[in-house]
Amino acid sequence: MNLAPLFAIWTLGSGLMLFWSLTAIAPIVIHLWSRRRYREETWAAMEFLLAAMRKHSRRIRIEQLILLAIRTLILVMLGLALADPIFSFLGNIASGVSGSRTHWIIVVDGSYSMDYLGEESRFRVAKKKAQQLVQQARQGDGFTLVLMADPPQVVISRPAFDKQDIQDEISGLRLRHAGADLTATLAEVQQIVESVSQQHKRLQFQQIAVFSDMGNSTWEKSSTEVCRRRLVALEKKAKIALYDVGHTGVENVAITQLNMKNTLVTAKREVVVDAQIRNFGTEDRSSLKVEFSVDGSRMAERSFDVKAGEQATVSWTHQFVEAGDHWIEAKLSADNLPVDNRRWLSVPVRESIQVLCIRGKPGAARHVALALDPTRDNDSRVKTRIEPENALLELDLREFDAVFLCNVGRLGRDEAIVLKDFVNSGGGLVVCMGDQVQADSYNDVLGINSENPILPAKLESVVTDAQVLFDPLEYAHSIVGPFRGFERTGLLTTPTWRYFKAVPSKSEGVDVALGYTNGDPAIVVGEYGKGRSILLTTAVSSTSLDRNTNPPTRWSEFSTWPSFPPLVQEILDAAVAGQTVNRNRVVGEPLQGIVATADAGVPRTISGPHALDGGKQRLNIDMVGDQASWVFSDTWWTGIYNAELAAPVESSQRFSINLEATESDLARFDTDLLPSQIQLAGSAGDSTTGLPTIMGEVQYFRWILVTLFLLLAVESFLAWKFGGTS
Amino acid sequence: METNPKSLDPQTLAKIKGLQLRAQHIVEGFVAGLHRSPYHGFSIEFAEHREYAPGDDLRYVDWKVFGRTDKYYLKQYEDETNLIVYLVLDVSESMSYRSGDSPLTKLEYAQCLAAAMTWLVLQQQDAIGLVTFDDRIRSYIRPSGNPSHMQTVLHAMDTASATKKTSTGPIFHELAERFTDRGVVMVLSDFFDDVNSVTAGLKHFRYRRHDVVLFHTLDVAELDFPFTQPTLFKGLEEFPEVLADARSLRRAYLKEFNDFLTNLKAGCRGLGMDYQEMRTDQRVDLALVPYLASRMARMK
Repeated sequence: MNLAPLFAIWTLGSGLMLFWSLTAIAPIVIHLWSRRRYREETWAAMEFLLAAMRKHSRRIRIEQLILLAIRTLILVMLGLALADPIFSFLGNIASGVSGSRTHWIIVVDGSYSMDYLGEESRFRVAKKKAQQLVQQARQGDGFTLVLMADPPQVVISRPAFDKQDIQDEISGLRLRHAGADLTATLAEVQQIVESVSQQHKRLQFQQIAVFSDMGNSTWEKSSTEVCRRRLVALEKKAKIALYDVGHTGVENVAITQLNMKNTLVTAKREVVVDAQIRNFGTEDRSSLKVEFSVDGSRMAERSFDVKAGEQATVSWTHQFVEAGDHWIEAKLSADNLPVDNRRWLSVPVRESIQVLCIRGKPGAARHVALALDPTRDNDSRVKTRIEPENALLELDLREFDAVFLCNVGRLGRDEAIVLKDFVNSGGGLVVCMGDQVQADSYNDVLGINSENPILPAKLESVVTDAQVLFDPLEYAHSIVGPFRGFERTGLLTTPTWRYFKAVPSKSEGVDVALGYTNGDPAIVVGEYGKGRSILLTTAVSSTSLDRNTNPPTRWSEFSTWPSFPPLVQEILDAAVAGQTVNRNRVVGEPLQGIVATADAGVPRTISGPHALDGGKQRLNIDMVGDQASWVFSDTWWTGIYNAELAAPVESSQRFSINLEATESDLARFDTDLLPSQIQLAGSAGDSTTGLPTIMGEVQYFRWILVTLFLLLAVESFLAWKFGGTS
Repeated sequence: METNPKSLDPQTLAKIKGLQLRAQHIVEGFVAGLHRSPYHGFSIEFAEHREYAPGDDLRYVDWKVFGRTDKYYLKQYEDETNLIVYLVLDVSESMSYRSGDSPLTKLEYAQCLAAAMTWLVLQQQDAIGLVTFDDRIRSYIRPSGNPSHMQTVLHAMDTASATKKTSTGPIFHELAERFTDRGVVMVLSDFFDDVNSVTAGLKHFRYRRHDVVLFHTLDVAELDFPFTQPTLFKGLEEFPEVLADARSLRRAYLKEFNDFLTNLKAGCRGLGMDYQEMRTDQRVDLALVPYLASRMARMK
């Protein structure tokens, strides 16, 4: 009879501890030894002793054997309990498969709330627990490793069997400064489980061990339909155990925003920097300090109070002396979650903003240029240049931050391509209508269905019988937001008689900033690539006339109205915002840069917090058409990234990567609400054990201990019953 | 009845060398507590004249009575003893046993008891004799009421050594034949012998109309069997050595021993004899005084 399968179903949690079972020979040795080692007693009442021995020797021998057996069994049980035996399903025997093992899918929460410091960080505790699990697993078990981040990172996708390698991989896990996507992680885990169940038949049992701090922002999704469906599917093939490494009653204050009111900063002009700070805790905080630095040099410190659950804004005014790439850092006083105490802002400072105004006919761009640069001196914030239509193909648009098309009649395909590249690379395009504009031409080359779809609305016919005013649409958009409360600027009284009816694109990133009182859009803003395209549906010059009437009717009084200069300034800021937005991204968003074609061959590197050793990573240049660009995606850690172009060009661009502050709210998910498929296996306060039970296996050490104590009680009773004790 | 407990404690007695000193010590402690002598309980009938028997001393013949009645009677003097006590002391090897918890061997304890009894009987001006035995009679001292007899008895007890096997039954038969005068036979022994043989011998005493008192002298270890380790028991009185697990054997041993005690007590009760258990860790008076008190009450 082959007994191998029978033994194969037993495994030991701590095999070495089984050696304690060897102490079971102690009672036998003691018994034999005691027969050689005895006391001597001169005895008078021998006849009674001899009579007792004669009559009861057989019974006494049996009693002694019973006691010896029980004492030996007690020590065997003790050794077994210490060895932590595990009994696998009897299914093994039935199937005749011996040596089946478990596939462990270790999932470590990689959200940045795991960086919270107790005695040590939650992430470190989770890694230690995971390493203990690997250590305690049986020889032959397989392991895969997933970092539950956003998006999840599959570190080991196919089962690995070398415990040391697994532990090294766990040890090398690096916490990303992002949240965690539970749904996507479950999808990855599901894929691994399916793959292993098909390709690794020997790994008959599958156990998912999740180590998490139970952050609400991550686990609240566990009740969604998608998650539940995935959990139900997983439950059929694996058991899910959750190890809680979080804490209760924690406080946290974080900088949630750092921004400037001006989108494009110029030298020698004051800019206001706002730091928004939120108290996620339950206690009011006072006299907290936030420190502002520029290019790494500490510049100012501000003190503030913030109530529990509320937000405070701390402002600081600064003037950049020189143009160039600068960066600002705001830093809070330390707490237990340091990662959200700092925030950065990359600030490309220009000497001035360069605007190209293309006029469709003489005078069409004059009012716009005047509104952008009223003084026309050398210190102007905005420098304008008015050119005729053909300049679009003759000039290098990369010299300009924004292009205003003013009453340009029609556009060719080449011009459309130039404009599209300009917008995609971060430039601002403002398309202003007028009496010369041919809507079909615009729709054909820049419209939604064209090859270069950078016009945010489809142009229809000119509305001729209108007499409308502007509707600020509750000042919701950043372009008209500054006019809130300043009705005397005349924004609401600007009369318009002619405009192009426009139907805004339903694409993402298209927004109506200003409307007419009849409901038609006046200003439509769209985001394309890294740039912005803004459509103004009426004329920005008094030269646009409807000659079908007698006398000819002006399109609008907009360009002569007091609201025109500030509105054009705001339109410009909105148009060029793409240039700085690209410099300031959140964790996980790629960094991109355009390289002059001539410089495409020059080596470009990037350094930043992604490289623990402070080293530089080479960037690959991609050529699309005649445009060279680079993309850097490894932006999982907050801080300043510096992209450098080597000699002979020797230029650099700084980018900031900041947190999505959702994980800063350290509220815990109520474990009672966990789906039934997930079993809570232990918490941070537990000792090193308490790891989840293997699916299909039962840990017997408790039962063995119970048996051991029963045997102790039986031994005591029998010893008394057999007359051994006086 | 108050006694001096310290004087009667076996621990104290063990520190005193010499049987005479021990006896004196016991009696001092014992008598100090007496308010009324328990001895009167020993008095039995007596006559003023006794018919002459061959061998009697002719000096004591009352010639006046002979003149009136033409019969020979012996004169009964006022100071003549009226009670004869026979002390029968077992000096077999088993009596030499002393466990770790006991200060005295069984023989030493019995000797103390016998010495104290001797002193009390002589003080009462009664007669006392002594027999020591093992498998045969080792010494025999005829009863006498002379105060100087004390030294003789104590000396005989003091020189007795425990070396041989017990043979209780035949000895008792022999003694019953030798104790011609009625009296009180006090047997001090562990009675480690066949119970039937013992009771048969005792029955002979009763047949001779003696009062019989058994002072069953036992060591505390023999009663409790306190051993827990494997033990090599070295038998006295020519028994072999036995290695046994004392813990396992305890229950069986106690059953055998208690059966023995029960049978012996039952035999005594059946013959109308007094039985008194004497534990060697017990104060001497604790067993003696209740016995004397109960006997006095019975004789009233």
